[in-house]
Amino acid sequence: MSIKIGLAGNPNSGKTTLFNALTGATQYVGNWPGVTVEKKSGKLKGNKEVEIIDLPGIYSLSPYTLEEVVTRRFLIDDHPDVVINIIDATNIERNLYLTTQILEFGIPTVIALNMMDLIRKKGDHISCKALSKQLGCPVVEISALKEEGIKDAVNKAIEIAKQGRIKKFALPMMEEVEEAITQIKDLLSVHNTTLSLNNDWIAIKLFERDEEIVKQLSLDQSTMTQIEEIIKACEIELDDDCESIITSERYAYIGDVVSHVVKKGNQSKETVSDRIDKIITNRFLALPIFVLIMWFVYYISVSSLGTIVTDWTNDTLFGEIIQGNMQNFLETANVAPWLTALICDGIIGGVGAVLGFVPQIMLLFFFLAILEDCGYMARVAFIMDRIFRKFGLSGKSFIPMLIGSGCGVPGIMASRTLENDKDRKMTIMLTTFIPCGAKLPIIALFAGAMFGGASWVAPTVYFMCITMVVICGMILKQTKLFAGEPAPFVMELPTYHIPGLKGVLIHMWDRGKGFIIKAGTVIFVACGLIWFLQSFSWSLEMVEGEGSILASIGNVVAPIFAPLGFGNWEAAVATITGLVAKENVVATYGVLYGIADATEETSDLLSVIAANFTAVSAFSFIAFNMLCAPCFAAVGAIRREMGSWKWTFIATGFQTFTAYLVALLINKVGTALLLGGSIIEAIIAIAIVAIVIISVFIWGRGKSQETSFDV
Amino acid sequence: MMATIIIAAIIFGLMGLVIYKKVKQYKSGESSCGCGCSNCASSKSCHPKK
Amino acid sequence: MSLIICQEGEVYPIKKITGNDETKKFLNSLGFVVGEEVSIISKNGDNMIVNIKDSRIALGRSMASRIMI
Repeated sequence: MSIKIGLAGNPNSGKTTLFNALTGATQYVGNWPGVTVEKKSGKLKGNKEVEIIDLPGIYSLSPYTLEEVVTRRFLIDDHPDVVINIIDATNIERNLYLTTQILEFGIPTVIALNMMDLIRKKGDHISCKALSKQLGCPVVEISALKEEGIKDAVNKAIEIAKQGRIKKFALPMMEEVEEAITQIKDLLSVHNTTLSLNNDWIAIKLFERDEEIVKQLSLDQSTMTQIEEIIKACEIELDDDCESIITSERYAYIGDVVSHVVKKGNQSKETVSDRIDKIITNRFLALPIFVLIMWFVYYISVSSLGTIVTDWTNDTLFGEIIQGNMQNFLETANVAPWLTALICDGIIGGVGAVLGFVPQIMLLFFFLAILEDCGYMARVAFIMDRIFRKFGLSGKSFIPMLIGSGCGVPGIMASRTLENDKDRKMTIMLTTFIPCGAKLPIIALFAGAMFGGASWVAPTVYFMCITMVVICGMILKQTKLFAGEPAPFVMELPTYHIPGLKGVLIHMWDRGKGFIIKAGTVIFVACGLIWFLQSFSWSLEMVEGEGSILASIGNVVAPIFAPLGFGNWEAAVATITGLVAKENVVATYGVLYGIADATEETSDLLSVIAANFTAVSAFSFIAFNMLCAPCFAAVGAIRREMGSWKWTFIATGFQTFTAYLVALLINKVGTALLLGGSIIEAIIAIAIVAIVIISVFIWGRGKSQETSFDV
Repeated sequence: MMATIIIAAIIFGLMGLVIYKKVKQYKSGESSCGCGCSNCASSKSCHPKK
Repeated sequence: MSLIICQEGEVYPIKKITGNDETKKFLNSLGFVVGEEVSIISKNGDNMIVNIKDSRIALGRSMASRIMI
């Protein structure tokens, strides 16, 4: 007999952890039909008959947000057999607010009381038996993180699902409210409601003037008028609005329940988390601490430990072992020289270059995962809000960017946390300015070729990118497309906890896996193609670079990049292949210069690069590639999150255009200042940029609208 | 000669497979990053948290 | 008076939440209701972290200014 279980609870209550523990690898992630809210479902580990659906994290079941509506519809229309309501015991009162609403649906419910270990550490005591008695449903203690008790919870859920008894839960309320609700119920019983739900719940919703229910019921005008009168009468009698009335009733009831169920230990209001927060979010220490932490992360993953492993991977693993042996093997087997070249120079050269960065990327993802799981990321949004708000952005816009420093795609997806549509769109457009893992090799390559591997290069590039985010953010905010106050900042901060190693490794692997798979697929094919294009001329004779198909294509495009300082076909081609995947920029150079392992270490590649670029044009090349349109995967994510091709074009067009201007400025002004270049050209470049900015202001000026608080 | 044909077949076969799968993936609108939202970003919310 | 001008470490009972829109309902569902005690854990400029019903909520200025104590 197949059973459908709905998993509901507050955000941060451990729902996702529980869901992962219950379903393991059999998850399916999609979207709820018609909306951009994610729908996760999976089969119970060890019992394919049981389907578990992870509902969005919500605080209540009002009709205001998509997540709540989606959850409601699931409970009403999808007929789950049982609901597991996961509750964070450390703030049980707030969590029970949702519980009372779930119980009113009448679906068999099991309460999973999570984080009880934290309760015990605090010295408090919660009685599951008492809670169960008060609420009228089973209560099971669990620790989602430690995976304790979850089997019991699920088994209990399956048990009561099989019993199939509809529980009647009625929120005890004041006389006046009970009166009003009963009257509404009587009115309802006259009509046949098409909603497969008990009239009690519907009556309460009507009392609250719930728009969604009203729409669904489509009662006639006279009934609606009568209901309205009942509500008004009650509101006047209690001197409060209908929703607040019900809210108060809920909290009053909850307060009563809690008094019978919870025994507080020592009353110190300040927890360890609070003490940490006092330091981490301190006015003066917050930002320096953040900078320190991020510096540390990048230092370990990119500079010290990361470099050591990457060096070994490139030189030893790829250089000697793989490529050397492959070459020997192929030559001994008498394989045609072109095929040998394709495999060794083209594929191994290109793909090897990219895979060489895997160690650094993995380390970076590892640290990012730790920061996310321990709860620090949420604080970062809060810390950044103060600064971002000065530029018209919300601090919540910062998290997607921080995630984007690993990979742009999850960064873009993370913009979903922004309720304000304008904020969201702007964040999506700016997120890919921050260098992602795939762009790191570009920085490293040029740092090695032009600046002797100096350690100031990478931080300078990051600084430039962040500056561009702020500047462009400010400029965009001036246009009527994005003008308006950013959404007010409200965010729950989860308790700090030491992240479980397993969870962190899973996160890290999940994201790093994508990098590796991309290398084995997209880049693999791309390298083959590039090798072919640069080895043959249009008449299909083998050539070396200059006369090839690729060179002629590149030469058509190259002039566009001439003002930026890199108007040669190699640079043009490398940049274009970067559109498929940013790693391709390095891979392409690797293939082009026919050098075995194109990494920042190989002296041949480095010297060729050094010969083709100046210090200034190198920087402008880096700048262009950092800021221009991201890789196909990221563009796909942008399209998904923006919801339309129009906006995708706006976003990528904006990014590429900005990239061009910045690179132009760097090249012309830099050359004039440092290399004795033409001052006139520098001035022209500055003038062009100034004109563009001014015209954006003029064109974009409109009345700045008040942002609606669509929370 | 034989060796060339075999190796070439392998390489191009692999490429064809990759292209085929990528096109399929693109058509079905899957996330091509490799990170299924389940273990995505912090905020534990690739699905908006309120 | 509004929560904005209060100090770290103090505990106050909520007297009212201004406005009557969805934001207020959202604050309600988080635990900000009349009569409930709210305490300020940390202040960073005009933003603050408060403790309400045993949970930690970060509030921006415009939100905090709507909570009257």
